[in-house]
Amino acid sequence: MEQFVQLFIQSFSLGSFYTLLALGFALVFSVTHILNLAHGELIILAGYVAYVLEQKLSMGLWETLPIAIAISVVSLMVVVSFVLHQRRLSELHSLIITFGIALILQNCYLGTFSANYRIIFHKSRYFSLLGGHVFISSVQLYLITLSLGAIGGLYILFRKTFIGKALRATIQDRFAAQMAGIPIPRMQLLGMVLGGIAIGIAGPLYARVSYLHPAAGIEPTIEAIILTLFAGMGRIRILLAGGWLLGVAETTTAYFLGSQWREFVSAMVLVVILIFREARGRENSV
Amino acid sequence: MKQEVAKATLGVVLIIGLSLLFMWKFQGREDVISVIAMAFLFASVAFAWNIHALSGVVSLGHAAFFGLGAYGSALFAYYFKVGSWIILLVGGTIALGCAVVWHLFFEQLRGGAYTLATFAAAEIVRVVVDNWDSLTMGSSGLTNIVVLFSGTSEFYLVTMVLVIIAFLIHWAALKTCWGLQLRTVREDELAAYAIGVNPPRVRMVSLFVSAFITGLCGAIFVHRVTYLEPSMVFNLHISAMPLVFSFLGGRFTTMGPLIGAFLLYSVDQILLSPFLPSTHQAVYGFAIVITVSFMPNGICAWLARIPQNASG
Amino acid sequence: MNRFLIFFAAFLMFFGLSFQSRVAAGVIKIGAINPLTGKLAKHGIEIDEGIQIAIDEFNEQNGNSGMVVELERRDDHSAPDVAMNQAEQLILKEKVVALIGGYVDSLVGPVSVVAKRNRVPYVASASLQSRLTQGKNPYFFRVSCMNGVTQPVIEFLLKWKNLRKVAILHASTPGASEFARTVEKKLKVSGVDVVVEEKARAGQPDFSPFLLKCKARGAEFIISAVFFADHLVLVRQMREMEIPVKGYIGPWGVAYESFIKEMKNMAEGLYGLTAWLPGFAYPGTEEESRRFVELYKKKFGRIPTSTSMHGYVSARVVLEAVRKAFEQGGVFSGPDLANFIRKTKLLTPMGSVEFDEKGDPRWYKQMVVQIRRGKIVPVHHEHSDAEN
Repeated sequence: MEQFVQLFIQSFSLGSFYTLLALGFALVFSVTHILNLAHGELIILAGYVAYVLEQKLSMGLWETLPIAIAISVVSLMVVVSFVLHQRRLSELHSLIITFGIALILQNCYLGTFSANYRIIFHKSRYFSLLGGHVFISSVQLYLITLSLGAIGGLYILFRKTFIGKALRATIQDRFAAQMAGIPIPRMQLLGMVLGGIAIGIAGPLYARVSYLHPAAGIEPTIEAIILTLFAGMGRIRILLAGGWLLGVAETTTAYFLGSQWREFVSAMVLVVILIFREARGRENSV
Repeated sequence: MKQEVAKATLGVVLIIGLSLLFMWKFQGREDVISVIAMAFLFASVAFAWNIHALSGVVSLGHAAFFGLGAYGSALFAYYFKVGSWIILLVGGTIALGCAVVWHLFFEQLRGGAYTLATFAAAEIVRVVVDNWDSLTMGSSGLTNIVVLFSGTSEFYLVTMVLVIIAFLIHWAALKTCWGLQLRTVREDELAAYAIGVNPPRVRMVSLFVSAFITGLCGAIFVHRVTYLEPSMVFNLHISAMPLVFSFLGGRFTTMGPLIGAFLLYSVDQILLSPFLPSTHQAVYGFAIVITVSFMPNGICAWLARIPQNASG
Repeated sequence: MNRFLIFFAAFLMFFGLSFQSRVAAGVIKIGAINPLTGKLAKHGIEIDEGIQIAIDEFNEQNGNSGMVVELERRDDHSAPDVAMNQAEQLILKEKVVALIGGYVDSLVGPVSVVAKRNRVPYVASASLQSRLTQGKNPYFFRVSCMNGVTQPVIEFLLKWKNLRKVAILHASTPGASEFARTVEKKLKVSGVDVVVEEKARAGQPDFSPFLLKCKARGAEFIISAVFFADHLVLVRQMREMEIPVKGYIGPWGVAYESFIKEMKNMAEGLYGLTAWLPGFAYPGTEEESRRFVELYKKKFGRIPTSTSMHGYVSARVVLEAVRKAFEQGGVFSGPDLANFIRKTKLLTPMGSVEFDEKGDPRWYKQMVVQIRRGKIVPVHHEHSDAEN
């Protein structure tokens, strides 16, 4: 019994982790229609920033967060505005350009931080549940609360505030929003800032949960693409649901069938849901 | 139409002429020949990918076809002790079989959902191959696979023929009646129905052709490299590479994918790697960024002065 | 059409350039192919640096005999087709007399095929899979082999008192799979139960299900044939979840100073395998080992690892053959060099190096080490047994 509760805690913290990784990508994609393949590299950059601060100034997670966020916002703005200023821009164009940028960044990291694997060493605190048989670590709590907080915050922003509604309008229909007098460039800027904040939060956590390496950015990028395409434009809450679904699917598969089947089941779940959703959408539209 | 046929003929003559010129020029320099041959091989994959992409969907799962082609051919050679070129067709056919399954399940999907589904499908194939130890040797991989091409020049000629075939099909997918059908399907499916085009069928044919060629390429690849393990062929790199090549070369030009593959692959291998062993990656990245910035419709479109804001 | 013509002309000119590189008289070139970028870069760079040290040292020692060896380094992007292309380029364009380097079997295998085709010897630095040397390739040698890794692990585990249940996790690569299978078979024969046996894709973010399973089934020892990065995640989770195991052994990726640096006290007590340590060389080679560490520190500013030593030793083997060829008239034909390499008898800090008819090393054997108080300490090795 305790095993399963523990397994669920692991699943949800993993799912929350995935969601945090995907959030910045999804925000940028929704607002600017840019598929940012350098997303993972920016997360890694935020992670490296936190790592250096932790090593040199022995800062903790909460102290490094503002700096990591600031750097992520700026670097994301540089990347996204560069892509936005292209003469011709489609989603595929942005994909290719950011792929090029990702390669450049990887090579820069290799030169700056060497090919060594890095992690931010941390002492987790533990909270025992169910009479001491089930544990939840502080990092897991951070992951779950931060992802819930981020999604909840965005929900409130989108639903309750004027600027959020304008942003939502931009996501839903750029041209209609423009006609309603919403300044699209400013909305895009807002999207970048929000995306940058998400990346800045994800980076230091990534360095605690996984590891930093110049080529490690590909994993978070893939995770982000999967969740974003799965959720669709602007559907932030589905992002969390999708993240948790993948987390549960992967963890339970790994437990009952073995780690070798993990990607099989999560890919199957994705495919089946995509097909069913499509079929349902078709029925509804008829 | 006649003019287009003449252009296609010119294209084929150009490919053959230049290939033979290279072969003559680089006698005794088999390394250059083999890099160009690999570029031809990946150009064929890029052509194949684009044939499918011309029907209006973006696949990120072509590694499944490539890998199944490689595995099908290598395993067939291993179990039935066949060493003739027929096994290449086996590879292509198995990839085709996979495409049939894709078509059955993914027919209704479009846009991001399709891309994601193809990506996931490639992942499913990888895990199955990786775990089916009794058939595929699983993660242990296959070693000492039959070498089908006695020498580099033979390999070169084979890939040249392959790329010409892929080029011609790709040309047909742009310029013939089928090409027009593909175009209507990718631009307005409803309109396509209205003028009597059957979008599912057009899309299916393009997928099947694409899968078969990609499988063939995978088979040829593996009989050259003679070593195979799942992560070598079933990876995102193989799926994304044709996208990058086609895009940089020009997705709506007949020669685009070939030019893209040729320039990116062979220049990186022949020129950059020797001088910049550890920073060529960044230069490669720069090349991609600059090309897309200045030639948003691809190198070929830029060369032919196709207006840069047309969508082909 | 203008643009097209200009492009075409540029293109022809570009390929009209002669790609032949000039080889200065009296310079012997050796090629090294390693993953210098991408996921495998850490170990690829370590091997590459070890090779550089061997070349520098050789040139310093033989400078006045008129024999200069030049190293051509290449990146294989961790992709087999690139590795093949680069190998071919080194042989045909740079006219290297031999190839060295290579990390993981999927990159070593294709290069060995190129070596055979062009009749140039290739000494791989880090390759394990047994099937790789069964292709009757007289030009392929390697300084490491599977036996040298599985044997010490098995001996070490069987010496452990009352070991009943172990769990095995391995990466989905050919080498790791073969390692896991061999160890599992041997342990089962000796009456040890393998309660969990699974495979994981390299780079997975979460190992907790595996660890929970180990706990539930009462595994006492975890054998984890995964790579450096996976150990970082796995060990951290193991410590955090307080999985009650007596020991954890990682055949590769654990016995590194950089691992201890990142994991701090979480690395305490882990077992790993290594072929060499900076302060622990094969008897009789202490001097060479010390010199290697010194040169390495001077050139790269850090302490070499066992992986660098593999690169160094593979380069030493080739350089030794080159020296012999030079002494016998200075003809560096591939078959001759391969013959010299086959007859290699070399004492290196990693042990003595000799090759069998398949090109595998005869005496390669790693030692089991443990991380104690932040230091890597040998706990099970050949020459300690002999002395005791």
